Amino acid sequence: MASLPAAQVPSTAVAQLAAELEQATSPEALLRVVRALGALGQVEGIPLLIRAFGFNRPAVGEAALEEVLRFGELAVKPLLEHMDGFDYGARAYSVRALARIGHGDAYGFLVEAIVADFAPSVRRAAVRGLGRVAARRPVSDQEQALLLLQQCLSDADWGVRYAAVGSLTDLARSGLPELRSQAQAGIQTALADADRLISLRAQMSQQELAADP
Amino acid sequence: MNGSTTARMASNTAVLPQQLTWEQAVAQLQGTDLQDRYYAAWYLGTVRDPRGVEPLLLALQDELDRTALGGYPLRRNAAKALGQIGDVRALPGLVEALTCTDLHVREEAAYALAQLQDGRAVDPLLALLQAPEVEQPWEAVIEALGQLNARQAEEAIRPFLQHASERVRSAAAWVLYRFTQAEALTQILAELLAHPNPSLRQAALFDLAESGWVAGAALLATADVALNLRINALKRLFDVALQLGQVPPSQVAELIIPQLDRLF
Repeated sequence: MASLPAAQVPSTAVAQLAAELEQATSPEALLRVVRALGALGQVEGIPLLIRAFGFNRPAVGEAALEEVLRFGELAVKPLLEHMDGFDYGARAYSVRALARIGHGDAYGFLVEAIVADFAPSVRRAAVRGLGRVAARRPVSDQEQALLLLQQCLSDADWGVRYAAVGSLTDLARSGLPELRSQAQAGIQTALADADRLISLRAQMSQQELAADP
Repeated sequence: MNGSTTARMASNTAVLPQQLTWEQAVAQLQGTDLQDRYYAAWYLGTVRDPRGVEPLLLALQDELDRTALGGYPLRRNAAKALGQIGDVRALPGLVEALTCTDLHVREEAAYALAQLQDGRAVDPLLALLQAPEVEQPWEAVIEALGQLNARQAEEAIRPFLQHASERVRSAAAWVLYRFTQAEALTQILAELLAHPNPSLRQAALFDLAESGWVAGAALLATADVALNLRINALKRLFDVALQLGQVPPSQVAELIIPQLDRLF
């Protein structure tokens, strides 16, 4: 990272912003600190942004998510290490971040969340990210992800089925070529979903994939 | 009965329902214990067995369960349960409940009539709006007329866009938007969605969804409201827009799916 030679100075800046985050009372003040942490670009600031997922201010959470995403793959380790085991609202933002970044290291966590997390928002986000993350993993993991996503297509939660369609699309596009037809078959199944939102989402996916052979 | 303590707790908290058979629930509803009756009425609504309509209609005329201020708690629960069951046989009883002295009974009756989806409820609901000297559950009455697609109510609803209560203004705005698709109404919905009060933002979120204003999808996605509520509101907007059929499904999908995707 470009800032490495001057690590000493930015750390002070992170500490300063950490203090400001502690003292902030209004959403405007929180937003300002969150944006400043992103602009600073110091990985030491990532845990603070992750904390902001749990402030119960959705606008602050969304801003923190945007800023975390600017760090790309550098955020994966802190996201996994600072996962909020109690506040599922905060956890959903962390999982959304992992889903977008799409780094293979998030694979085990996402699978576990899909199978075991009680919170629908966390499961939905984990399902959405699985295809992208699995595409960076060895063949056995991709096969397991494919199986799990196919099961998700008959989940009782429409949000999980919806997320599975997008996730299968990612896997078809970026996963191993030999798995593409199976992923597409899953999307084909979703075309018949009784919920029109799911079938229309599947239709969109098919068009996307047809345009990107 | 061994379970009656549980039943009392369940009637006013969010604990899981006591497992009653339908027969037990009806017997409780017709019993003498006011708490058990109140619970049984609620329970029959969750079961949604149409055989519950007759006993609930009787409960809708109850005179025994009264609050210090003259309210009728059992009637409120009975009206709500009749809406959940959704059987049109409840229509006359619910229409009569619109004249109950308890405003909360009138409110539950209005919402229940909306759930029955029977056009015969329109005139009696409209009559409430047209006698504004009596305090009414305005939000419920307006929303019921919207859910019943009662376009003849448009002029009677319009003055409520200036009502003192944000909730009432918001209800009037979504219902009138469904009827007219007038752009000016979307501003009212958008303003409330940015209100400093979080519970009003939350109400505005679902009012916008009910309006069927598909171009408002981006506002739903970015509102300062909890993530799962934004997702559910976008889903509701999608369902409403498809049901109204004014915008072709493919176009609804093109507007809503990208917004939904950014929340997953």
